[in-house]
Amino acid sequence: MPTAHETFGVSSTASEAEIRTRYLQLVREFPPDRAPERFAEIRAAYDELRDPAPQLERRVLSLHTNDSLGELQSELRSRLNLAKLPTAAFISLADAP
Amino acid sequence: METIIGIDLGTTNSEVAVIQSGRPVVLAEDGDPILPSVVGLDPQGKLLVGRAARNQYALSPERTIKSIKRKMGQDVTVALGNQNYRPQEISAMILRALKQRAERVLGHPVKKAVITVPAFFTEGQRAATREAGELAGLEVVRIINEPTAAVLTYDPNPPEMERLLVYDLGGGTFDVSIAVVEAGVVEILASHGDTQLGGDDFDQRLLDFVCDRFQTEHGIDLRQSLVARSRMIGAVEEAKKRLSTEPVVLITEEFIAEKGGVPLNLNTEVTRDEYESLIEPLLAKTLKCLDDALEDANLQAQQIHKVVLVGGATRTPLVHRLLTTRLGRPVHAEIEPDLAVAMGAAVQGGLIAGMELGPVLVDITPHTLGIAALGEVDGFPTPHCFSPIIERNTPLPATRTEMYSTTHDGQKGAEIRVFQGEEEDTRLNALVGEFAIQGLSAVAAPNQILVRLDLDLNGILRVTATERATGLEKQVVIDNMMERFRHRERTDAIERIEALFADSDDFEEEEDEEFDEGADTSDEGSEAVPEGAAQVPDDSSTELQRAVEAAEVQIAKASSLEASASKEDAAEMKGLIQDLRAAVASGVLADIRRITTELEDLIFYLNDA
Repeated sequence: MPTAHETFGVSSTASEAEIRTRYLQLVREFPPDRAPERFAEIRAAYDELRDPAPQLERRVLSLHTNDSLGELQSELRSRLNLAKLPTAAFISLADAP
Repeated sequence: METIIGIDLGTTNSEVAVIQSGRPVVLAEDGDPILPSVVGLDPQGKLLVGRAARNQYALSPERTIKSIKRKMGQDVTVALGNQNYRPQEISAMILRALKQRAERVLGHPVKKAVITVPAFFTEGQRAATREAGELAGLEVVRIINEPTAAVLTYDPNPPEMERLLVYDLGGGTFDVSIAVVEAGVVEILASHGDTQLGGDDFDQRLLDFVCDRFQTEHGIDLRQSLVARSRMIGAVEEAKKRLSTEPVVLITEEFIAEKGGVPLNLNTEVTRDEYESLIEPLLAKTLKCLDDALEDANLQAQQIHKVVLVGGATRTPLVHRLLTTRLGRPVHAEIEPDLAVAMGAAVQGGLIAGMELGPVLVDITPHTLGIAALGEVDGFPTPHCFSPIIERNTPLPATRTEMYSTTHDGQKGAEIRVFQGEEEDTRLNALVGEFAIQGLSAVAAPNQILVRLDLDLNGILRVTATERATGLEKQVVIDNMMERFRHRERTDAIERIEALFADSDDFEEEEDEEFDEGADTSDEGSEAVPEGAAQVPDDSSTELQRAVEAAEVQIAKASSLEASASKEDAAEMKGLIQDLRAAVASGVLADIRRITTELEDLIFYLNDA
C-alpha cells in the first residue's frame, strides 16, 4: 500500500499548507461523486497526513498487517523525529496513555 | 444534455429550479416562484396543491394537509377526505405538482430530480423523501442537504479561503452547517440540527398565547373547534410576519365563537416583545446546535467569515439579534433565503448531468453509524451498548472497519444490528437494519469478527461482517427505499396519486399525456414484482411473509440491473428470478430463502463489476 505522502505525491517534509493545496487539487480532479473510490483514498491519506495517530491505530487492527507494536512505535518515533507533524497530532499523542 | 431539476421540498413552501444558461433559475408560474406545501381536496373531491389548497385551509381544515414534512419517516397516516395517506404520498403530490410546473415552464418532460432535505434528517427520513419522489414519477438522482445546497449558490472560488456558517431555520426544521469554500471545493465540516423545530412552532406558541388570553376573557377555548382553530392559525401566521417589521400588531377575527347565542369577536394586540419572549426558548435551542457544530468543526466563532441565513423564519429580527450577539458580528441575509436551497439543488443537478458549473462538493454524514455490542452503559453491563463505526461529520463516501469478538466458546453466529444516533444506549438511537452472520468456527471466545460499514453519497449503506480467522463473510446492503417499500403498496400508491391528478383541473390533460413517458418507465420498473407477488398463497405465516418480501426486493433490484448486465449475467439473473417466482408461488420457505440469497450474491457481484 502506498503511504499517505505517496498518494499525495508530496515529500515527507511537506508543510500543512502544501498538503492542503495538494488535497484541494486532488479533490477537484477526483470528486466524490465521479470517482468515489479514488476520493476515499485521497481523503484517508489527507486525514492521516493531518493526524497520523488514528491511522496507526487502525493498522494494528487491520486484517492485512503483521506489524508488531514495536515496529509501529519505531515508525511513529521516526516520524516524530522529522518534526513535520501538525500541531493537533502532537497534542493528541501527548494525551495518549 | 438531460435536465435534472432541483427541488426544495419545504415544510411550508416548495420551489423547483433548473440550470439555464449556466445559472440556477427558480421556475415561477404567474410570477410566483413559491408553491405552498399544502395539499387539499375541494368540495367536489378534486385535488388542490399549493396556493389553492392553502387558501381553503381556514374553512376546510379537514380536507387540507399542511406541514407534512414533519411527519416524513414516521409510520403514520393522515386523513384527507375519506382516505388515509402516508406522509410520502402527500409529499409525492407536492412533488408531482412541481414536476408538472417544470414541464409546463420548460416545455418538455422532466424525469430526474435532486431533492433537498434538512442536513439532520435521519436515513429513514431521507428514504421516505426518496420514496415520495419515486411515487411522483421522478427518478431521484441525489438527496442533498439543504444548507449544503445553499452553499452551492455561492462563488466557489473566493480570493481567499472562506468559512461559512449556514443557519437554516425553515417552517418545520432547523439546521446549522459549517462549510469551507476554497479553490473550487466546497467542504462541509459539521452539521447539527433539530428536525422538529421551525417557524410552525413559533405559530403554535403565538396561537396558544392568543387563545389563552381569549379563554381567560370569554371562557371559550378556540383550539377546541377545528374551524376556529384553523382560522386562528391563519391569523397568527399573518401576525407573526407583520411582527418582523412592526412593533405592535392587532389581531382581529370576527364571529370567531359564540356564547349564549351572542357572536364573539377576537380583538387583541400583541407586541413584538411579547412575541419574542414566546419564541426565545426555541431560539436558544438553535444556539446550542450552533455551539455544537462549531465544536465539531474545531472552530471558534471569530474564525467564521460569513453567516448565511436560509429559510423564511430567519426573517425574525430576534434571530438576527441573537446571532449577532453570539457570533460577535453583524449577520446578513446575503442570499434569497426562500429560494437559495432550490437553486443549489439545481446546481447539484447540473453537476450530476455533467455541466461544468464550478464547485466540487465534499459533504458529510451528520449522524454516527454503528452497531449494538455487549458493553457498559452508565456502569452496567448491557447488550445495548452503541459502538460507533462511522463517526458523525465523516466525509462521504466513507468506509470504516471495527473489530469485535464473540462472547462465549463455540459461538456459532452473531447478530449485527446497525444503529444511527449519538446515544450510548442503542435503544435511544434509530435502528437502520439488522442481519446475522452464521456458521462461525467452533473455537473458544474471543473469535474476532470485523464489521465494515460503507456509506455512499446516496445514503446507501453496505454492512460486511467477516470472521477474521477464516475470512467467512456475510454482507447486506441497507437501502431503505427498497426495503421499507412493499412493492404492492407502492403500485397502489402510484395509482391513487395518478387518479387524484387525473381528476384535478389544475393541470392540462393534453400536456400530461404527452409527458407521461416518465411516469410510464417507473411503472414498468415496478411491474415485475406484483406479478410474482400476486402468486403468493394466502396462508401467510410472518416468516414466509418476510421471506417473500425479501425476495420481492431482490427481484426488483435485479430487474433494474438487467439492462446494464452482460448477456450471460442477465440470462443467469433471469433464470434465478424465474426460480424465485416459482418458489414464491409454491410457498416453500427454504427454497425462497436459498434462491433469494443466490440472487442477492449475483446483484452484489454485478454492482461491483
